[in-house]
Amino acid sequence: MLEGRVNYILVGLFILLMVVVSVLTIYIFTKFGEKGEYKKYLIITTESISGLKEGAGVYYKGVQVGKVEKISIDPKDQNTVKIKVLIDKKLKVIDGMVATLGIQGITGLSYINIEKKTGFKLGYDKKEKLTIIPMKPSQLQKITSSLPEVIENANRVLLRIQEILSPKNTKKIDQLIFKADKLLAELNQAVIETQKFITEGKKLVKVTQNKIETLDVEKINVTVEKYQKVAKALEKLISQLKILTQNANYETLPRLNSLLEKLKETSQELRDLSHKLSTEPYSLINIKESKPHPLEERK
Amino acid sequence: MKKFFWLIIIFMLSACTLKTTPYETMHLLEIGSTYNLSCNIRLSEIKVADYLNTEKMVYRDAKGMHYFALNKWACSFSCIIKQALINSFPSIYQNQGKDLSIYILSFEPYFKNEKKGEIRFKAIVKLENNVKTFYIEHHFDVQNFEELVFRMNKTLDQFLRDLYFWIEENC
Repeated sequence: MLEGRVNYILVGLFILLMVVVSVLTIYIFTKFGEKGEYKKYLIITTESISGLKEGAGVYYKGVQVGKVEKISIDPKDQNTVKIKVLIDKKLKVIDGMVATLGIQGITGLSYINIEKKTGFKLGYDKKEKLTIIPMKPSQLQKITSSLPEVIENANRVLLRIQEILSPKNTKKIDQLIFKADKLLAELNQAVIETQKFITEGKKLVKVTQNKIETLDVEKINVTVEKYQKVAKALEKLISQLKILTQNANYETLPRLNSLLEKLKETSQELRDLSHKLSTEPYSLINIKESKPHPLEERK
Repeated sequence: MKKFFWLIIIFMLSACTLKTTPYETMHLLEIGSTYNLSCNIRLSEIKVADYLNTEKMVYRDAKGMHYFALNKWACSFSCIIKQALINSFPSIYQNQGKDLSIYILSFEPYFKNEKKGEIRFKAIVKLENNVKTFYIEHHFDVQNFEELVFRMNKTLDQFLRDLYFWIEENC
């Protein structure tokens, strides 16, 4: 009876068919499918791409549009890294698109981010026959690349600080501060002296004014007014000097010097005026006409 | 209304009648003597205190300093002094010789009452490196202004005479 017999040929053919179908399915869902829906691009960079691995995603506006296919070092130039990526054909890669390296959360894994940025153009690799997407260093890459320099600079600064704070220099700084303190104390004394001078000057002006008023002359009043103005200016200078003295440091010291020069000039002016008042009072007198003297009416 | 109008006219006319222009007399200082200097002297500078350097004549009394109202100099006081010096020492008006500088500090009568007082004269004179301060005081008791000017003339005469002797000493 034929019913109880197994046809081994048919079974063998069936198994073979199943194997072929399986292989085809796997192929279609992997390589074949990829080639059909994705297009290969090349990204070239000289920056570090630490954290980027084959199979990592390629994103455009936060949407995954592809993946990293292969990462290799350019055998001709050891500084250059070549990244081959597969990007969905639906995304039109055009001029103005640029790739950057992004970090995925706290995992430390990197991905490729495609964004639009003016000033970038696509290239073409004749050997690989692939379109090149330009890559610009991300903020992270910039920081990573500049970090060694920053650390070196910081080290240099620390060394200098150490040099400055050496026992020899510390002693010198102490001496300098001591001298500055002494200078400030002297300056304070000078301010007090100058204030005394102003007070005396004011007294003198008051006395002079009283005398002048009795003479009823005009010219002396003008001179004394000038005298008073000078005294006021001097007072203003001194108050500025006081503030500077209180907050004196290396920035304010040059200003303090110029102020002292002004003070000297003003004091000189005041001294000249006082000298003129005391030595040549007549030259300032402008006497008003009065009624005829009795002698003038006598014949 | 008419009365008021006339009142205004009379008031305005009264202003013309009450205001009289004072009659002013001008004076010069006449020099009595001429001196011949034995050396060459050049008048390089003559300065007069500002308050004196005017045509107005100054006097002092217990109240202070005043200008005479009805009498004045014929020209500014520095011009009067310069003229007096050139008249007394004709040779100093030349361009060679020792430099003579004169600074008149004061020259005015000081009245103790209406007629009596003293004329005070002060000057600093420099001849090359020699400096001298001349101070002259002349008492006066005068009846009128002309007598006062005469006394001032005498004071200036004395200064010129003293100056002559001093220059001769320092020539």
